[in-house]
Amino acid sequence: MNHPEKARTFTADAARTAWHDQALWFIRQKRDRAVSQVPEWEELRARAAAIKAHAMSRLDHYLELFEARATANGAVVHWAADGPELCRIVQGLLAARGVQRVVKSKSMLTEECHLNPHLEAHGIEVVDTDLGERIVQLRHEPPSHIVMPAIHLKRAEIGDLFHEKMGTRAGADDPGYLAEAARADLRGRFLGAEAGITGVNFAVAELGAVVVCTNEGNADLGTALPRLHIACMGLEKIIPRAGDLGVFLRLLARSATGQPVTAYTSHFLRPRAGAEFHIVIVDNGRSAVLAQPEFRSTLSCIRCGACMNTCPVYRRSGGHSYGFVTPGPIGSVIAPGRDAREHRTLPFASSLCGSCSDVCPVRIELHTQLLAWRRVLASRGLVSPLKLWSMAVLAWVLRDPVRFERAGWIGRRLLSALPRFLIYNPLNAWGRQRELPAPPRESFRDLYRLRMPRGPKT
Amino acid sequence: MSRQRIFDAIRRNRPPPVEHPGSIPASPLRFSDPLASFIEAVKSVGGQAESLASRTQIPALLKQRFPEAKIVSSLARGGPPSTLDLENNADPHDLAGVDLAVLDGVFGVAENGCVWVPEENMRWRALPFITQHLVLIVPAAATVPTLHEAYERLAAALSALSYGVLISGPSKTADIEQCLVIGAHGPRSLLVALVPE
Repeated sequence: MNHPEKARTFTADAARTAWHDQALWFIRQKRDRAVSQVPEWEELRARAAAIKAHAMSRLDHYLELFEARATANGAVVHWAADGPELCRIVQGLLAARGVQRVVKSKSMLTEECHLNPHLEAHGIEVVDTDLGERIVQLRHEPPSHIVMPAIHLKRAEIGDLFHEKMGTRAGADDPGYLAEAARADLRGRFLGAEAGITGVNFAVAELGAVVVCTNEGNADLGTALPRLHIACMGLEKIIPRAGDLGVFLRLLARSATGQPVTAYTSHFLRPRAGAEFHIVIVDNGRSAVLAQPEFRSTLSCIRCGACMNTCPVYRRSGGHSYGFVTPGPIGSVIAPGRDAREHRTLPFASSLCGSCSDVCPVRIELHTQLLAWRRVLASRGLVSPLKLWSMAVLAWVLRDPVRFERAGWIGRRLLSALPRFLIYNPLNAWGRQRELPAPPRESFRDLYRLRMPRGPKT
Repeated sequence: MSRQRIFDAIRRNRPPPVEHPGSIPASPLRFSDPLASFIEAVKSVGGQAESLASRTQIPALLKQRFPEAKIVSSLARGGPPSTLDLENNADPHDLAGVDLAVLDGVFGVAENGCVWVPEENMRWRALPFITQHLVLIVPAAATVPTLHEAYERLAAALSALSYGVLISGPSKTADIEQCLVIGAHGPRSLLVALVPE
């Protein structure tokens, strides 16, 4: 199913769609309040974009530096060209140490690479410990948002899930009670785990350090108890200097949830005594994006989710409608780069309003990239004939002022005269959930001529 | 080998060089009273703050705030006596029952309530997370305005670091319908005690 089809399923429940829309908009408003506290916000965004552009232009240098420093620190660095290789490396590390039970903190990269099913197929128990990720894991579904994985669920649904899986009281849906039950359940799993897997928010080249941001403390608890920590990162997570952290950390949480910073910003440099620290650096299509000037800046993304929270299409269609690990505007420009045919409807899941670009903390020009993808898709014959045909007609009409005026004249009369079933025909996608406005009797030009008898100056 | 393949692809696809924008200029986010802003920030992220006239007041404060705490791990200067002998503690799993951990923080950050805690101040990385309640003892005069100044201050120390964490408030989650719940996996409360030095 493509985006419009899946979105139709989601929007069939109008009350739920409105609830989802409001939940995300609430976070967008929190973000606005947090941002307004920082007078140099625009300067920070510009700097973040410039640091990332620099890092990407010298990516080979910084990756080598990171590898050298991390190795000197006592970490072991691995390289994975794609998702299956990441899975093999991680599974190999676990198998060699006889690990049966793993706790994992938030990592969209391991979602992208389908690490959990791979490990489970090898008989390893993987427990996602971020509460939102745990919820969707128990429901056997992917996260619907990169920062708030269970944002699509209501508390009653989570209450029912926990009742079934953790034995909480039937019908209980108090978030405090449910979170406490999850805490008790996961405490035992933290204590029983033989390895901890984390994602990476930032990898600081000059330090060989991995920085992980969480609110729950699950990345720290999950790596501080077992003797093996495996951090998985996309190669674009590299930033050059420790001082750069100040820029990105001041942007990240404010953009993501409207917090001034996450509760924990953890800096991992060396393994603790008696333990091992492994870092797996994954390409999986990223190095290819470096060669595309139009889309290169997607590598600057710090995965805050602000573009989703503000997107009128995401808010009303839900993360699962995108059918890609990263939904929303940023996902819609990354996905077609991975598989243009599979994800050909995503660049159209946008009104091109530009709100995503306005809130992006690293100034990725998302709406222009969405438009650019539409052009690419059209040139590759991946746009539906109806869309191409209607665009061709529209272009033909708009190209000529006389033609435009006549088309308006005809349109106004047809709209008043035609029977409803002809106007709201199956080809009129716009009219499916909306009423067309009543056509005015006169056009703007008619009114203008009436008031300026000599006619418009040309 | 994948490493070589990845580097080949990067070198082939690498865009023209772009300069690093340089070190960060001082943030205009200045605080007339950084300590007051820090205290306000700690409270706004769900923590508590208490100013003490001297470290000698720490044990009394903790007795009053945490009368129920049975297992206490204290590594802070002037902290209460520990009921768990950390020096002979060989396995972090033994910390599972800790009710209260008392650690030295190095400095606070006014803009967001962060306290810097390096591994040497906690001995076991698990301690500040596995404990039910966390108390950080922070020198009041060490407050910096923003994270820029925090990383300037840390610049020399970072390369020798094993592990360190900026802690802003107690652990929390809002994953159920955006309702804030304090006490996710880590401590259920955070008390920052400010001391003169």
